[in-house]
Amino acid sequence: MVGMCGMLGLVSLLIMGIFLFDKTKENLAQAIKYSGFMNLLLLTLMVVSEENEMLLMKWEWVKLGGYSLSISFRYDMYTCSFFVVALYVTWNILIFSFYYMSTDPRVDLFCKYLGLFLIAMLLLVSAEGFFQLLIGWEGVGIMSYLLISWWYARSDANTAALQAIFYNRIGDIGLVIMLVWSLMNTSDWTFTSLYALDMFNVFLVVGVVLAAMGKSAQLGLHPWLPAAMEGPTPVSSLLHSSTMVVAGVFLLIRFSPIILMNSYAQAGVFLLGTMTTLFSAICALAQNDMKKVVAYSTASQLGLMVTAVGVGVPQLAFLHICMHAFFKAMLFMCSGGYIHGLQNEQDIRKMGGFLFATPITSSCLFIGSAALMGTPFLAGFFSKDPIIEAINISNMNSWAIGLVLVATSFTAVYSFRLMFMGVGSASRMFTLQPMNEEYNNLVGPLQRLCYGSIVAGVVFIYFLIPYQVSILSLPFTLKLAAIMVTAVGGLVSWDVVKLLHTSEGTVNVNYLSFEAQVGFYSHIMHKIMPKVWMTLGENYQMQMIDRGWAELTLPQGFGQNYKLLADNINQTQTALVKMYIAIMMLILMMMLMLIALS
Amino acid sequence: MYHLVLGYVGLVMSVWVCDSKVMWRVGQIGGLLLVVPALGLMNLNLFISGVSGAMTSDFMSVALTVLSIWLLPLMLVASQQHMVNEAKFYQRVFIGCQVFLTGGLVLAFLASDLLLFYIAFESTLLPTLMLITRWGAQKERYQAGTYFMFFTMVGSLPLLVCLLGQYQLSGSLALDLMFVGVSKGEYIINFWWLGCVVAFLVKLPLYGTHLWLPKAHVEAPIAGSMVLAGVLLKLGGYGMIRVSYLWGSSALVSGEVILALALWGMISMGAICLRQTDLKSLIAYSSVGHMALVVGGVMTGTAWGYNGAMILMIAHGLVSSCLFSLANSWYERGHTRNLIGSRGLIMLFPLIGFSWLISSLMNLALPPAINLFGELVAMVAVYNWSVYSVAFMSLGAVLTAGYSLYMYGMSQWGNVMKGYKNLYIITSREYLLGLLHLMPAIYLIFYLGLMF
Repeated sequence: MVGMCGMLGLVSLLIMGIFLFDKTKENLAQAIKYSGFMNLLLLTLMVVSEENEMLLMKWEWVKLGGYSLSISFRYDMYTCSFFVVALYVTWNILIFSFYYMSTDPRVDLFCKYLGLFLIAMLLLVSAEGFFQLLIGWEGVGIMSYLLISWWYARSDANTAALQAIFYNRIGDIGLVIMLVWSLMNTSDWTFTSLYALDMFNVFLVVGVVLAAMGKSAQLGLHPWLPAAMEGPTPVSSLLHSSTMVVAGVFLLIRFSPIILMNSYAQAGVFLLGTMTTLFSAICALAQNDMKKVVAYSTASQLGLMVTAVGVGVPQLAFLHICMHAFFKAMLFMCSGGYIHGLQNEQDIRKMGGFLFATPITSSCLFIGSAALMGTPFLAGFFSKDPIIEAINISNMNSWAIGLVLVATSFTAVYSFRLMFMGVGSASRMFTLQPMNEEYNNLVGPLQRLCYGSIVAGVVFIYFLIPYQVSILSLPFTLKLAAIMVTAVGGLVSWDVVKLLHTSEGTVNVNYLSFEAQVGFYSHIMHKIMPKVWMTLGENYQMQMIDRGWAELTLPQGFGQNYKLLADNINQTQTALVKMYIAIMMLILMMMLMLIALS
Repeated sequence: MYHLVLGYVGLVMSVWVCDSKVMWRVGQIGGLLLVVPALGLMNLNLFISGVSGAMTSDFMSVALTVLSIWLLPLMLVASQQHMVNEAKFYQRVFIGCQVFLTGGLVLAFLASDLLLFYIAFESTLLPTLMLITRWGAQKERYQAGTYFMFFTMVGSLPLLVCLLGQYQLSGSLALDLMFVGVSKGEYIINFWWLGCVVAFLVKLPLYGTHLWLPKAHVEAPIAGSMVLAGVLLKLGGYGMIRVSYLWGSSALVSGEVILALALWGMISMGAICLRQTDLKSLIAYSSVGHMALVVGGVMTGTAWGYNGAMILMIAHGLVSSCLFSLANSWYERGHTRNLIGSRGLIMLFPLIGFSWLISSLMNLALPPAINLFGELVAMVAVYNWSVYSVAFMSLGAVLTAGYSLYMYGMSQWGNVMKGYKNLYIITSREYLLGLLHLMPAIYLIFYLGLMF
């Protein structure tokens, strides 16, 4: 029964694939919607029947000696939940992009790209074999490349797209290491045989973590995520918040049984996550671009998910992926609505007072931010609070635990700042803006995602519970730590806003340049790394070796030397008979001498 | 298998005698028809699928034979436009040249005797030289032709000497025999082995001997670039696999040096590509980078390495040939190869942009393209040789992605440069050209077994 329903998941993928060729974008949206509900049915059945995982459809792709590589799908709780969430969110974002991209002549193609992206993402999540994982992994990367640079005549967008692909590819070094290692050590390149191997390997784990760093924009490989905000808002909403960027975390979750075997690996992942979450939260504090604030908060939440994997609760990390998808997609949609209303103005200093102009969007922004902060009984609470609780009771580095708590409070600071600058306060926008939210394609998706942000947590916590036994006796302060630091953050944000935006006279904001310039990371790295490679390419490889040593010693050098030789021999060819006879005599004499000597 | 070679003899003749109105069509259709008997050679169950006289076909030679036969009509289709203004006689010579070249390649791939292989190998030089120096675009084509000629000759003469010496020792140069009479472990064997492979390393080319390649690729007319990138480089890879089969792993010490050189070449070629301003030169240098992994795979001397190298060669043959033909279709309109001068092409030619996209993505080995599979398999082989090599290989993959997408982004995106007038639309001939390149590449994804 459940196996039959598992086929439903495949069928839904197939249906979407077919509808990609459909002429009208509305049909694609419908297909995604119904696929989502089909998968909801599947999820329900899995929950009811308490079946944990199943493998489906083994199609042997190629046989290489003793190896056989096949395409097969892995349906477990993760896959099913993610299918439901991703399809639901994508459906809404597709509808939203009808509104947002309505004046774009290529809107149909845009929707197809989104659909193709979704299929790649679902392939990734449902992959059992690593090759299929790789198809999905690279597929989402390339789709993000194409979508970031959707407005391709802008050179900023081109650069951002190339930047995304470069950082992703650096992460893919890790994936290649993982693939090569597992191709050698497992017989059929699947998760099943990797789990069965039950072996910790440094190469494998370093590779997986590196891959996750690239895709999930962890500290060090993070700058592409904010830069990707050059893309249209639906792209930011779907790819760079709710689905694609969590692929790295998802990879870590899939590999968590192996990572958690070794305490050093675990601690490494944990520290990576904590640093990312804090760094991104700090950066979000001082951004003035509305999309950038939300982007950095995404990066911060990704850091939190990685932290959760590191602390040993991958189920909660996954739960946070699902919850995060709802409210982060919604936050981006809200900012998309504002940006449209303000005629492409993204600066929050020129917003304000939207509460009266666009009540629905503004309340959605409020609910989304509240869910993001972990306000009790909204979606974010059910994932964020247990994660922080698990971190608090873990025996990890207490300094790192402190960093997570600080980052959590910063979430409140930047969320409140965003709400104050956007929704609250007095209007600072230019007059006569076409501020309007009377579009079904804007309000509908917002409302649907808003319902999701409110109730999804209650539903999902029912079946996505950690395997570990939870500690029931927890000190009062630790239990309430997350909420308390968030409340403190809310209070602090009042001061931040007062300092930055409402105080009279000039304020010395030099000490904010670290935050505003995002840690100077891209200023340094984006100067050094291209310079290294470009110098290597042009000055050393091209000018010095290819056009220098190699050319001058081999072809040109031989040519010059033969020319010299020929010139010298030429000297003897004087066309004077006396000269020839003299040379002949000389040679004859030498030969005679040789004969005489020998 | 003689029928294939005879087919090419016939095709040269029919191009020579037919009416000048139909000679292009004769070349194209005749070339396409010859694919059919070549496909007949494929017998997937046997290692050696056919023997006749001096010719043997096994899974490697069949794959490359089909590739070279497939590329002949494409070359002719691609060069139809820029030959329009030539005299009819020279058009005839041009077509004859390419048919002869392909016949030589087929002979080389199917030869069961190393001496016959050597002769066919050398016979491809002359038509290629003619293509480059007669029909190239700029004055630098003479230098390119000289470089091409001399590099290949200097490399291949030691091969002849080694082959003759081997013949003296064993009395046969049949491919199926292991080299006998050479006592393994002697110091001299390294040099002997090196003499055998250096011709192929120059042809492939290995980093360090690649100097002729960018020049030849850039200066050659489109047909020359296509056949050079598509098949002639693979002649080197094929020969190297053959010779390393014969030698076994006896000379792995010098093989390791070459492997290390190839690994470094992969990265430095990537770095060079990032700085190219010339579209054709970028594609040419990227070929060197890709071929480095072929060298790596072959030099490990393992079945995985050979398999990976074979898949990579087939994939690269189709994809880089496609990129060259796309670059040419822009060159015929814009008369520039400069990347700055060719921006925003997707606005001008939206549909051909799709071919650009697909071929760039295949060039960077996007899964599930066969390029990726070849790279992975070759990487496993090299990884087995040394764990640390994976750092070089994956860095090479990063750079490959970087320059492929840099090429795509630079040429397709951005704003069109002002000043282009009368750019005529892309003809269905060019769409067909892209399709015929990419279709086999996509087909092979599903039937990867064809190459094992």
